[in-house]
Amino acid sequence: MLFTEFRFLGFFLLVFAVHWLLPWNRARKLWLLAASYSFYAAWDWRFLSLIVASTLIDYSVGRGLELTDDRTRRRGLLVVSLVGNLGILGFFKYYNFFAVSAAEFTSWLGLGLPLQALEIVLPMGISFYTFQTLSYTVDVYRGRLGATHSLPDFALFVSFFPQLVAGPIVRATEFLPQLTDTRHLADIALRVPLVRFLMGYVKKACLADNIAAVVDPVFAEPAAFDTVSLWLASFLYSLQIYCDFSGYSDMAIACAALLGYHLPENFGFPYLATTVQDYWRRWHITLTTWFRDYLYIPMGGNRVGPVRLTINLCTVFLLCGLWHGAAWTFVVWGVYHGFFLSLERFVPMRRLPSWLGHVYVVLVVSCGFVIFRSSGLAEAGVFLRGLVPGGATGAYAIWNGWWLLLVAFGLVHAALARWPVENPVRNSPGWAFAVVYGVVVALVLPWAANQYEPFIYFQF
Amino acid sequence: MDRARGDRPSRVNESLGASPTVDRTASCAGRSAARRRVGLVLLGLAAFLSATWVVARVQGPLRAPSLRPQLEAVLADLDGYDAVVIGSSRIQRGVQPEVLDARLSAPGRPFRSFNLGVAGMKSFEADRVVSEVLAAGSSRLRLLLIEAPEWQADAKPLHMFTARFTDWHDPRRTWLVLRSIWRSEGSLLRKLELSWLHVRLFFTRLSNYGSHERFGSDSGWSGRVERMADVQGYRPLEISRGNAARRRAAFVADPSPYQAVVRQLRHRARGGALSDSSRTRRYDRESLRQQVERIEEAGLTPVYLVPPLTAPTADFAALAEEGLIPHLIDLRDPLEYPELFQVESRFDKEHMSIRGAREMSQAIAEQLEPVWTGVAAGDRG
Repeated sequence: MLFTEFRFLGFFLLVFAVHWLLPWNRARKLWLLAASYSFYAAWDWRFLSLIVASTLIDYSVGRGLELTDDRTRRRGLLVVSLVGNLGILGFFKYYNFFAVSAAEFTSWLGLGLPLQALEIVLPMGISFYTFQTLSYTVDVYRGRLGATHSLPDFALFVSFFPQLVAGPIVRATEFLPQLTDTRHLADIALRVPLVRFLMGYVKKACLADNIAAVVDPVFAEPAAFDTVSLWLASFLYSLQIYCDFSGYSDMAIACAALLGYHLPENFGFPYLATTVQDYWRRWHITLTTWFRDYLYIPMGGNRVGPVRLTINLCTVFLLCGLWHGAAWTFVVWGVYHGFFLSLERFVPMRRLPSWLGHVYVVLVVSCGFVIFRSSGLAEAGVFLRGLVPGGATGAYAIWNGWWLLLVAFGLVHAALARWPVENPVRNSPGWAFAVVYGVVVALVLPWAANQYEPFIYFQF
Repeated sequence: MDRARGDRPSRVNESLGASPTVDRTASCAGRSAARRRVGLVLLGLAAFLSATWVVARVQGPLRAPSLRPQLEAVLADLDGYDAVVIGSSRIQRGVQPEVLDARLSAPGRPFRSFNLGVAGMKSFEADRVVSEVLAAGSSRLRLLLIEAPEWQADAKPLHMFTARFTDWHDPRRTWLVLRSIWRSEGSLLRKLELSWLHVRLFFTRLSNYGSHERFGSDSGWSGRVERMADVQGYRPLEISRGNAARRRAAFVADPSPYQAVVRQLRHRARGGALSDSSRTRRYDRESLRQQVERIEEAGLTPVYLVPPLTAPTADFAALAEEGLIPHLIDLRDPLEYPELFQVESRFDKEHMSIRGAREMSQAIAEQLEPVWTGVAAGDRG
C-alpha cells in the first residue's frame, strides 16, 4: 500500500478516526500497532514475522541490559542483538550479492567455490527498521536510554506505519517518550501536516513518477542517447530521486503529525548545498546522523590523522552505499561520495562563491546518481563517457522542455527554503484554507502519473 | 483562541476530576469546535468537487490513443453515416463497412456505415461510446449495431487501471456495474473485491486523477483520424505486427486446437447448447433495457450482434424472445454459418481474417436488410 494510492486514503482515514475516538492512550497505541502490522501485511504478511522477531530480540536484549551491570554479559547481549538483526538483514539483503561475488572471484582464481544465488525476496523496509532497533539497543547499552518495559510501546516504535518502510529512521530517544503522553486532537495543528502531505504527494505522484517515464528509457539504453540528453537525464534523475524520497518523508511526517507524533526531518533542501559535506547534512539526514553517531564517531570521528580520516570517511560511505543496496554500483557510489568528502577536508570548497558551490554540488551529486541508478558498472561507464562532449554514441534526444522543469524546480526549491509555507498556512482563516486546499487538490490530481510507482527507497 | 480556551479545562478535568459544571462548558466548546471542523471539511470538499467539475469541463472527454482515431473520425462526420457498428476487436476485425454498404445501398438511397470496433472494448465502455454517438446527434444516422453486451464487471488486471477502463465510471454506469456484481453468482469476497475496484475507479474518474494527458492532446492526430475515416474504421489484423503477427504464426502453424474447439462447438450446437444458461439467468437485463431505451428515444434502431465466438455466452435469442432485444443477429452457430468457423476465415482463434470478415459482413448484411428496409420505409413515410 503506497501513500499515493487511493486505498491508503481509506486506510488512513479509518486509522485517524478510530485513533482520535479512542479515549485511552493505551488503546490508541494498540490500535496504531494493529494498523501498522496491517499496513505491512498488505504488502506481504509473511514478512511480519521478521519485524516481530526483530522487535522481540531487541526488547529482550534491552531488558537484559537493564538487569545486569556485568560488562561481559552486557557485551554478549549487544552481540546477540547485532548478530540477530544484522543476520536477518545480511541474509535477505546481501546473501546473493556476496555469494555471487565470491563465486565469481574464486572462479577467476581458478578455485570455483560452489556458491549459488537463492531466490530471496527482499522484505520491504528491512534496512530502515533494522537500523531503528539497533540504535535502541546501542543506546541502552551505552546508558543513554533506559530500556522500555512496555512491549507494545517498543513494537509500535519499530513498526509505526508512517515511517516503517522508508523512514525517516527514528531513534528510540525521540519516539518512545512521545508514547507516554496522552494527545488531544484539539492540540494538533491539522493544517500544516495537511499541506505537508499534499506537497509530498505532488513531489512523488506528479513529479517523480512522471519524470521516471522520461528517465527510465535513458538509463536502460544510455548508448542510444546524445550528450545533452544524457546530462538532462542525469539531472532529471537527481530531481526524481529527491522528489520520490523527500516526498515520501513529507507524507510520513505529515501522517505521523496528524496522529499526534513528531518524526525527525529527513531533508533540508539538499540542492541548495554548496559543498558535498553540506549536502550530506541535508540529504537523508536520519541515515547520515545514524552513521555518524554509531559508526563514524566510534571510529575516531574527526580527531584522527588525514590518512585515517580519509579511510574512515570512505569506509563509512562504502557501508552507506551498501545500505542502499547489494550491488557494486552502490559500493562505488558510496566510495565516490567518501572521496569527495575527504577531498573537501583538504581543498576548502566552502570558499567558492555560493553559485559556484551549488553548481559543484549538483554536478558531483548528479554524476554520482548516474552510478547509483545504472543497472551495472559497465552501463554507468557508458553513461558517464557519454557525458563528455564527443563521448556519446547515440542520436536519440529527450524533449528539451524538461530543462524548464529543472529551472522551475530550482526556483521553487530556493523560494520554499527562504519563505516556508507554514506561516501563511497557520495564519489564514479556516474557511479560506478549506477552499484553497480543496481547489489545489483538484488541480493537482490530474497531473499525477497514471500508474502507481513504488517509492524508490522501498527497495532499500 | 476560543477553541484553545475550551479545550484546556477538558484536559485538566480528565486528570483532576473537575466539577460537572466546568465539564459541561468544556464539552459544549468541544462540540462547537468539532462542528466547526466538520463544516470546514465539508467546505473543502465542496471546493474540491467544484474545481474537479471545472477541470473535467476544461479537459473534455477522454480520447485514449486506442479509441481516439475511430471515435473522432465518426463523430466528425456523423451525418455521413446511416449505421455505426460498435464493439470489441471481434467487431473491429470482423465487419467490413464496404460490404454492408454494397448490399444495403439502393438506387437513390446510398447506405454508408462505419466500424467503431475498438480492441478490448467491453460492454460498459461500449455503452459510453453509444452515449457519445447519441449525444453528438445526426440527421442521417438510423442504425446502431452493437456487439451483444455481457456487462462484464471484470477485466484483465492489465486493463483495469487504464484511462479507458476508468473513464466509463460515471455515477450511472458505476451504479449499474455495482448492481450487476451483487446480482451475479460469485463469492462474497469476489463481489466485495470487484465492488471496491469499481468504487475506486469511480473516485479516480471523479477526481480526474492522472488525466493530464488530455490537456493539449490535440496535436498529431489529424492524420490518423483521416486515415480511419478513409477505411470507415475497418482495419484488418493482417496489417498488424508484433503480438498479432506472432499469434497468427502460431495459429497457422498448428490450427488443430482451434479445430477441436469448433468440433465441440458443432456438437453443442446439435444439442442446442451453445449458450450458458447460468449467464442467461443472471444476465443484467436492466442495463440492456436502459441502453435500448436510450437508443430508441434518440430515434435510432438498435441491432445487437453476436460474433462467431467459440466461447459460450448468454442466450441472446432467449433475451430477444423476452422482448429485451428488438433486433438480433446471432452468428454463433457453426452449423448455420460453417464458413465463419473455417481456419481460413480466421486470423487467430478469436478474430476474423480479411476473408472471414467479408463473409461475416455478408451474413450481417443479409440479416440487416429487412431491418434497414423497414427503417428506410419509416423514413419515407
